[in-house]
Amino acid sequence: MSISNRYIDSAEEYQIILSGKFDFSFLNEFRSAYESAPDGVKKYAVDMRSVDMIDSSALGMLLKMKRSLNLADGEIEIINCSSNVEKILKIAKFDLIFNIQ
Amino acid sequence: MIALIVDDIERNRTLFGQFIGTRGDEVLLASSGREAIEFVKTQAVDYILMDINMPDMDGYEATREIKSIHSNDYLPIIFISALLEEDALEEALAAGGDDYIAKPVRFGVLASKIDAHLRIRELHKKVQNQNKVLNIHNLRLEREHELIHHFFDKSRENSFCDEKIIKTFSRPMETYNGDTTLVGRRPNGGITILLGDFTGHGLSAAVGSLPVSQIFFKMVEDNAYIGDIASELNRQINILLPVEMFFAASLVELSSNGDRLMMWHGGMPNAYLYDEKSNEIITIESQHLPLGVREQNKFDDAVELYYVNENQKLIVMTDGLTEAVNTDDKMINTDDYKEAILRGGDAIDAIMNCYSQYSDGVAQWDDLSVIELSCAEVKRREQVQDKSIVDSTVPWEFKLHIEDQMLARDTVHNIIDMIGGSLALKENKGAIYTLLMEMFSNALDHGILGLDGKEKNTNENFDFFYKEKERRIKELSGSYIDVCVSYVPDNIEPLLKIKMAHNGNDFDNSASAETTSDALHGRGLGLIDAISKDTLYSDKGRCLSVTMAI
Repeated sequence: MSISNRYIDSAEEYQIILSGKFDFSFLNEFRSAYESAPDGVKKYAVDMRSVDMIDSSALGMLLKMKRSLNLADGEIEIINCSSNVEKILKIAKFDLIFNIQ
Repeated sequence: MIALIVDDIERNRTLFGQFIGTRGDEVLLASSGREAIEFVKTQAVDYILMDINMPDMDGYEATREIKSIHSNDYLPIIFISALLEEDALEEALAAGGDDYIAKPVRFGVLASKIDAHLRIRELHKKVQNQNKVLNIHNLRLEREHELIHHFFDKSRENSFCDEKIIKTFSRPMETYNGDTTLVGRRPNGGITILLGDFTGHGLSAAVGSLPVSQIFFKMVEDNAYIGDIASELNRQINILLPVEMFFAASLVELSSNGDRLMMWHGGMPNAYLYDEKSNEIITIESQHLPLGVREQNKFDDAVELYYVNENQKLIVMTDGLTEAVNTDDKMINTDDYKEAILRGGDAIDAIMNCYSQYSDGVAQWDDLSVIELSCAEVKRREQVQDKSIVDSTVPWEFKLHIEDQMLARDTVHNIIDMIGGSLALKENKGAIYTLLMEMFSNALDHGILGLDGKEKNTNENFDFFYKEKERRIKELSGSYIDVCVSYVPDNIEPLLKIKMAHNGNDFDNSASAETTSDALHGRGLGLIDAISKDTLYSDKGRCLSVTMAI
């Protein structure tokens, strides 16, 4: 598992890029990734491009991010999901509170 | 040297023979044209003195025959005759004779002529040997070119091509292309493109594309981010290539649903993002130095991001196009290409027409390439499901007994690694992982450790929950979880059965808390229900058996 983040000035978008198995062992790393977003971010995106597996603690971490940043439903985009990840997100009805692309 | 004297008169043969002997050359004597041909066929001869008028076969005919036998080397034939008419001279040369000397022969002149022709013969031999060497060299070069072409073709073979999404055009200046166009489809959907231009052109520029394509396709296969690909390429080019060689490149990434376009643009001409519907065009200038210029610790992997829709297309080109010159040696105004794109239609055609009209026949002086990307959805790669896989017919069972502190280990990941190799389960690995993970954390957190999920509900407690969990595991003694995973093959519906039992607290599943969609806990049971075909609690909730259709 690795976490990296990027701020794209031109679009004022903050991206968190995840890879591997996304579970609670990355709790702190994930938190510091979204907490280190610069001021003026207009859009948050969690890029799941190479996450193969998630569990409910990962879902909890996503929720925690949403709540900590005080963002409304759909304000965080979850992009580039694998079919496994998309399936779990939809089963958990996360498409109601995240913008799953 | 070996001389052949051809004359029907014995006195002449003797006379010339004696002269040749004084030069230290060996002498062969033939009394007719026919005899001369026999000698030439069977013996090594360096030069021939030829009489014209002979019975049986005259000198002209013998010469024609001998020259046809020795068409590949230079065997000088000098005519000796009393005939001094222009006609005779002309016919002698036409028959293939190399020189002519009139009787009475002045031996000093004859000696000089022989020496001159032998020098030509030597030179001819030398050239021929050099030709032979050159031929071998050429053959080897040809073979090497074939090999190199094979490398280049293979290295670009993985390129994804779907005319509706990506169109590419490239015209090298020489055999080898210093421009590189690579298109990869990421396993999780979306495509990644690289268009780049190595310093210079020809083979020396093209070699760089080999490592570049290897790295590119490997990283695309890992769903890598273009910023990371750019950074890795910069690192490798710095290591592999000499300082003066670098790689102007654009890396483009389109998200799987086609609404996000990201671009790392370094040392390249302007790219254009064109909206066909609104007829608007955005000019994208390079943000970075070419790859391979910056030292790795100063490398900037920042990308540009554009939110795009299906009416938009991205056009990127190399400097072979933007530095085109006309017949007055004046360089093209790049806005010409922008105007051409704005006129609509196929952008590559528009650009190439614009280029041809402007350059008006002036020879291409650099490799030129252009790509046109339509911002459309590119779905994730469908996994090919092979129902005839061998191990799907063999039932198996897998049991684990995990005690106390061992429960802190990464148990589920280990189980997944062990059974994930089973071909039948490969495609369901993600769902099996989630299922095992939920079952295991329920058994451990609530059953054995007695932690209440509600504790996770606030942010602070969420962290506390995991710290407390670690602490309680350290204190465990005599607790265990039994895991049993079994595979039941079936032609129509193969099943995976998972049973997880523990010796901790009982659990009343009927009373499991209703959870709001926003709660930080309690999602696990819902996931288990949704993924599995049926679930069964026993031993007062301490044992959970689920069945999942594979």
